[in-house]
Amino acid sequence: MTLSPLENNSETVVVSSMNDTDASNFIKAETDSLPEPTSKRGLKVLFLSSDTGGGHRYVV
Amino acid sequence: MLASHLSLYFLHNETTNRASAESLARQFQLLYPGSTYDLLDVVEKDGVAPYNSLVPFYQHLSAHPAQWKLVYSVSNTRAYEYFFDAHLKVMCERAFRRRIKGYDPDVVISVHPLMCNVPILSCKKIGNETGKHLPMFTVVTDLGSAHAMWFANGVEKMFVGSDQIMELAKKRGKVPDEKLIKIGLPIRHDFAEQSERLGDRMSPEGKAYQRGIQKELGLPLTEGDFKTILVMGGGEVRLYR
Repeated sequence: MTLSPLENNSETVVVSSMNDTDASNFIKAETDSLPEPTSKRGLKVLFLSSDTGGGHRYVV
Repeated sequence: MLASHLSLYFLHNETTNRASAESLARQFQLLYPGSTYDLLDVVEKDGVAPYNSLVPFYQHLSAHPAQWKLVYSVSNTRAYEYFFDAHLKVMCERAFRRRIKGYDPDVVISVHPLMCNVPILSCKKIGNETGKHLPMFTVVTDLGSAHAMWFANGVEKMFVGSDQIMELAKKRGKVPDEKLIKIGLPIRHDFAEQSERLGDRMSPEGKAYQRGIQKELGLPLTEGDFKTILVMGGGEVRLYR
């Protein structure tokens, strides 16, 4: 992906400077420790998450 | 004197942790077609007081910055970290393990600082019980600073978004280099899709696409006298009436 010039002085440059293919290859390379899927239908992923943290809860 | 008119549009959004998990889930579905996912707040489900009422408590703290600062400062210490981990391990590990096991996951990913250390232990025990390795990863969703509890170093890999967080992980969590990956923060796949549709933003096609989006969102066209400023707030930013 190619994003706007906004990427120039932002910490998000790490994300925005990668195109989709690069990012996918990088993630694949870095997640070698992922197990083979238990079925041909892909992986079952469990995210431990909570509705705390940032985010806007109010609309004006 | 110039007259000015300011229209503000606010976006109602979900929380960072949840949005990060949803973004990552989408990538799993793209990279491993057919993948499924679940979101689990294991502390709310199986934690003990006061941790199991964290969501309303956090909302209260967000509205009272002085209290929030106090709680954050006290909890972001080695002493409290040690106490919290020990407390949760004794009181909740078995319940966490049972809950996680119930989902029968291939992989567990934590996007929340309170769900790192003890779930790592639970995943290891599940692996021992089932004979199937259950890897756990952490994706730190904070960019500039982060709570010490993020950095439980028993994970397979820890994904961070910046040099600052990487340093913090090494310093506070003693996370070894080979486990740390700096890759940025998870963002929605919609950004990539929109970017692809936009193409070159300065080309006639790109500008036409932008005008179409502005019209769709009810924004004034940027070619007129109006300018549109996008203001993004994250972390602890609150928007008041």
